[in-house]
Amino acid sequence: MATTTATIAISSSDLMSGQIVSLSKSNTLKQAASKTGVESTTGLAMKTLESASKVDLITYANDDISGNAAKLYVKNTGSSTDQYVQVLVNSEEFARLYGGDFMFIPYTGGSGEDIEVQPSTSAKVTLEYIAFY
Amino acid sequence: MATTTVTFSLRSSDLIPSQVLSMTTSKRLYKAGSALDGVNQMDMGRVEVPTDDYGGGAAKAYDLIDATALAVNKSNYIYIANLTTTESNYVVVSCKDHVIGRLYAGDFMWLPCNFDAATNDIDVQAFVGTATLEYAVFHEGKTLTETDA
Repeated sequence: MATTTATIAISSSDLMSGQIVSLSKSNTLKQAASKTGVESTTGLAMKTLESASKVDLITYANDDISGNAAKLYVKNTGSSTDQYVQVLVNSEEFARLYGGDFMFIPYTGGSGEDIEVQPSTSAKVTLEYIAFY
Repeated sequence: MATTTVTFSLRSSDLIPSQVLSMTTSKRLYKAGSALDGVNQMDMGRVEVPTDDYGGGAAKAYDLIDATALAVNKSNYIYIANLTTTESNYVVVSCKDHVIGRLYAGDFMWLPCNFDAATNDIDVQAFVGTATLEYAVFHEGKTLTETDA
């Protein structure tokens, strides 16, 4: 059984008056309803976009991501504060990644519930992504 | 201007044969379209999500993050963790009736979300058992929407 660990830490010394923000969590990625760790991954991949058109990042029917407990990491590797990339499921936006932003989400998928991405401009932008399942 | 930073890492020494996975990324949280002005507000809490609508019927989805209050097209960085310890229990997280995914016991998520419409709330729905969620939203402007009755 493989052991894959995700860790997040959020900190701020001045967001709240008189209260330091220091939030952290670590989790071993497991299969659905199980103590067994995830055993598959898409591997780390990159996709470069050069138009403002919507394209699939994860096509559920083709990418064989299953198991109901998949996790997806996506990062906008750019640095732009003007351009962003919309992340959509079934054409509905649920995330927006400016340069340097990343997301780490559970992904259930299903027929038509592909993960799509659409840059706000046609400027070149590269996404880094990996899924675990 | 507040300085808030998120750091995230993924590690595995045995998921991919012959290739250690070791990734780390860090990001300072800014207001939408800015590289100078950091987010300056946060909401944080812990909630229980019932499975049976308090005994009144089938499981329902509840608004966890209200898009209207947090304003459309502004930065909202959302952290949600399922603190439940029973591994079969899970919470479905959705946005505008589209399921994003399931948070099983111990799982967490990080979602930069600008809410392209005021109806795109982040909803949660518990299955198998009552779930305890911890959440935080780092954002740039909350507008109160409910007046005193």
